[in-house]
Amino acid sequence: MKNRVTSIATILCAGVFAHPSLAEVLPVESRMDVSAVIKQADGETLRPADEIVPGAVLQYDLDYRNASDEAFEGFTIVGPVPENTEFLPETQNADRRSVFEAKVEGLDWAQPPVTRYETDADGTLRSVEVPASAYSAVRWRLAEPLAPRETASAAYRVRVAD
Amino acid sequence: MRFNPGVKRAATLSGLGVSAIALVAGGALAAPPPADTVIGNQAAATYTSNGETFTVQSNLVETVVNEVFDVTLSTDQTRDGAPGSLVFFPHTIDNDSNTDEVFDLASDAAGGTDDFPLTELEIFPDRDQDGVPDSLTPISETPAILAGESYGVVVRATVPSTAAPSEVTDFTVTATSQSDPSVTQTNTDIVSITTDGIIDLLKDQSLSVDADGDGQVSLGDTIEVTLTYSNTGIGAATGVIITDDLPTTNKAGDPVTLDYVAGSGVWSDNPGVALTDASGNTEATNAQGTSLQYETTGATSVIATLDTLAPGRSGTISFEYEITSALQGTIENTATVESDTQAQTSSNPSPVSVDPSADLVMADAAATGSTPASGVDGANLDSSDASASDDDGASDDVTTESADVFAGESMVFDMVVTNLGNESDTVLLDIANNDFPVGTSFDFVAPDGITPIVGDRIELTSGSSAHVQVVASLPSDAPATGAPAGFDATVTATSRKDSGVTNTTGILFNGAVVAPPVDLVNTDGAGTVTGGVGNGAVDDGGDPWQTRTVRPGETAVFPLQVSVDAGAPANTFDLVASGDANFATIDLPDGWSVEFYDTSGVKITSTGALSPTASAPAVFDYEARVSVPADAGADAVGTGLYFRAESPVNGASDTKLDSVAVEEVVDVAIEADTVAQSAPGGVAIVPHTITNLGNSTLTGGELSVGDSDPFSGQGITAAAFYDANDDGVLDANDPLITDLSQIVGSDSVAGLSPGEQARVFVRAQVPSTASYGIQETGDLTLSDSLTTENGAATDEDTANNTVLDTITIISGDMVITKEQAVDADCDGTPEGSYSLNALSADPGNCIAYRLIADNTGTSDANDVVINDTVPGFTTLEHCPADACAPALTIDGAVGTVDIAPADEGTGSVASSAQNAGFSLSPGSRAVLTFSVEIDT
Repeated sequence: MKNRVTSIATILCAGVFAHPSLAEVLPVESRMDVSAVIKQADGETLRPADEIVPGAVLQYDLDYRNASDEAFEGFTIVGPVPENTEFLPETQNADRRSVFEAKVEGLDWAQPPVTRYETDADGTLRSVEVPASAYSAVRWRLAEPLAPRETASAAYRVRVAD
Repeated sequence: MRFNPGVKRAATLSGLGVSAIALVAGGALAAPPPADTVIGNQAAATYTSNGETFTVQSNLVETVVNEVFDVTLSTDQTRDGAPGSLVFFPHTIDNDSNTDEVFDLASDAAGGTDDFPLTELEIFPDRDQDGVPDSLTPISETPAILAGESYGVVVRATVPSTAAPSEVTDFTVTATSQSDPSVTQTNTDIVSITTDGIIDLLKDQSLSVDADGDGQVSLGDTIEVTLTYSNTGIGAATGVIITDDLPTTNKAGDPVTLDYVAGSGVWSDNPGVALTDASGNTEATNAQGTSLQYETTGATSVIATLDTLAPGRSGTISFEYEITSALQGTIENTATVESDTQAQTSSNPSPVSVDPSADLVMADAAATGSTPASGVDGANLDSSDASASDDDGASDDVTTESADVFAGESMVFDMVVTNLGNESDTVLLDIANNDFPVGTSFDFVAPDGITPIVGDRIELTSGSSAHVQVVASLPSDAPATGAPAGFDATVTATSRKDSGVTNTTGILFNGAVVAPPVDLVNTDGAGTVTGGVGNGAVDDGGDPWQTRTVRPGETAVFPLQVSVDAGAPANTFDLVASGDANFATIDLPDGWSVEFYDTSGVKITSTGALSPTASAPAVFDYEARVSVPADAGADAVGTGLYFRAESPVNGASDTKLDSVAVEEVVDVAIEADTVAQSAPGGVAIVPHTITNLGNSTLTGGELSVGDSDPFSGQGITAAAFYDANDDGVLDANDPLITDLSQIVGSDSVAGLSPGEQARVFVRAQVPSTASYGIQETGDLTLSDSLTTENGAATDEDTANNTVLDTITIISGDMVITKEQAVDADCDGTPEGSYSLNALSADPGNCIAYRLIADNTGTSDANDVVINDTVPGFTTLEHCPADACAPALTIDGAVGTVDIAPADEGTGSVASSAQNAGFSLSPGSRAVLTFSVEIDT
């Protein structure tokens, strides 16, 4: 009855809270959570993502809150797509009106579908769509300033290589 | 747990904050990452506030990639078999890996004890784990089993008819991970031969009462258990005891509560009759003469006893139990059977999978049970773990605050959210305001009262609860309200696992809202109050309490005083000013600034601690200094400014409205005195510039030529023309001008706006009878009675309202040309070439002038004097080493410039005095050069 059990303990938190002293007020409060998206018979559920397997889907949830007295102009939330994962298209979400853009190495931020120009063998320049798997980061540029005390949240999913 | 402290200013966000873990992915994925790979991520946000750009990093989250394979195979078992019979051994394969996996299955009779050979040994699928093969096609591997799930099989051993009673043969059953063959488990099963009765027991469970109607087994549902017994042996069995102990833990080891439903027992051989749960009585006897005794022990054990069972006979005992509490997961329940000749043998494991069900209670105390149908929590609350702030003395689903507060103050409501669901959940929090004053803000914070709950959600494991606080901050202009204020709001908790599961609780403020005990008033600078009434009266019936009028560039001073009522608690107040009454932003007109100073002249932003006594208020005198920019327009009405003293401790504040008006400055200037030449019969055109130095638009003012000093003598006539197209040249379309009202400046609006300039030409006509060498002067004067956009006004500086032109009548055969060039560094060498064109240059630059006098006639020109004037706003410049000092050449020969101001002086520049000029022969040229430096 041999069991092979390997467990690696490295867990860091999902969901953190600040403990500023009364004197120190940070202008922005932020929070990032990661969860594993588990498929079930009748849908899906989110579980803690401490240890996951290749091919697993991770959901990143981002929250930001303006804790100052001034409005934040041009508020942009950037979510990197970590190494060993790829962005899953159409999984992005934000709770405020915003422009969603993706970053591909060598290109500027652009709204999906991201295209690049390629030269054919015979020299013709073609516009080619870049797959979502090539995104290195995504971002949401809020359409309106973030007023004092307001929160902006965004979420997206990536798939771990397998 | 770590919160990011990193708020950095960044000019641009070109890359992302990089930590030791690389965060940037490349292109398509090639292969799974190796075990122990950490996938870390950290988000960033950028924004601009007050003109500066900031970047803020979130916390870091990490996930480890690890594919772990593990398996459990259940269980070793010994079963009786009759010679020539089939014996069934149910087994369960649990996929304990963290990923889906297929397991190889094998059975092997070789080795161990082999009193007799097994004719056949096969493994059949039993997905529903009811102990009966789903098909009779043997399998050698499981299908893919999801992580954490199980799969059932039945191993069938065929016993030869030659086997003899008491003989024993064993065999192994093995499950092995296909991904990692070192992961394997083996059970050893034993077949024991007997010719006595052999009771086979199968257990089946099905959903009997679906309490929540979702078609799945979940909390509150009732399960029907059917135990099927049969004698597969050769002889009769006696004293058959079937026992079913309802489990108290699930497969993961978490406690479950399964409650037997009283009177639910039924025997197949006595249908329609409920078996009694009491012990010691015979329930019934069937047609074969078999009697049944049936009893339950507590609420959790069922024992059925059959006195005898003939070979080939079978029947069922069924009963029900309710799932009262169970976490999401699998409950395995094995029944057992024994007889006088058979050792206790298990049935199949018969697992029941309990679905996740979410259930939340949000109330003013932790909950021990779900919210009743009314939606109001009460009896289901545990008042020993109640709100830390509730003032209404009851756990009744309303958190009440009764202490009086000021306008602007915050109050805290502590409440408790409980996760009664059967698995971990994330609770999403929301609040809806019903009656709190408009402008009240609500924030969710952790029980320390400070730490914000960013994202308005918290995670709770099954059965746990947490305190959550709502901080309600009243706006500083909340009206005073007597107790009970009756402000309420509704807090909603929603399950993220099941968005249909929500629960609400109420918060209620029943105190009074009182005016803060702080007053902000104007004083006369000596402590006497002159404006602003106590609390609440921000303005004087809509008007500012005080208006001060200043000239542009000046500072308006408002002596102010903050006082805290006698008997009120000590406090400190921040001093602020804004054009916005709500102070949502600090809003002042462009170029305006407001600063506060204490009575010693030290700049301050707060009052410092003010501590009234029981009988005397605490008073703080200070002044607000409002600086108005030098280009402020006239504004008799005044710009409203709200001054506020606000406590950062409890939000108490007082606000009042004052106003700053800007005087109208009326000053128009005309420049500059000019010397010009004309031959008899010719015309001298002299440009002048009119500038509005005031702060309101000039719409009228008389402009006249020769008002105080007409060009008399010599018969010169002159008039003023307006350079309407602003090209520096008197065109046919440039109109005669006698009044400022005719000017439409470069902004295309009639009149001269503040700072605007207009060009006017004096055109002097010299009659042909005029004599050479004569100089005539005439003035161009603007009246000091002007009209501005605000009405009639008087120019406050009449010294700059007139210019004097001097016309020198020169020989008709002499032509004089004046050119200019910019010498920006005043080194005597102009950067460009001389031209007649208009130039632009900056203060501190030099302009080089070149006056060229040519004798275009046929006779000598005698007593030639070339003269000019240092223009207004410039001074004569010699340049280093006198490189640009006034110089004269006459027909190529160096002459002297007899009349010139000293270096850096102003005044006339002339080759000589009148009657002391030089001669110029026909075709010859004299050139006089000089440079001036533009005033800085």
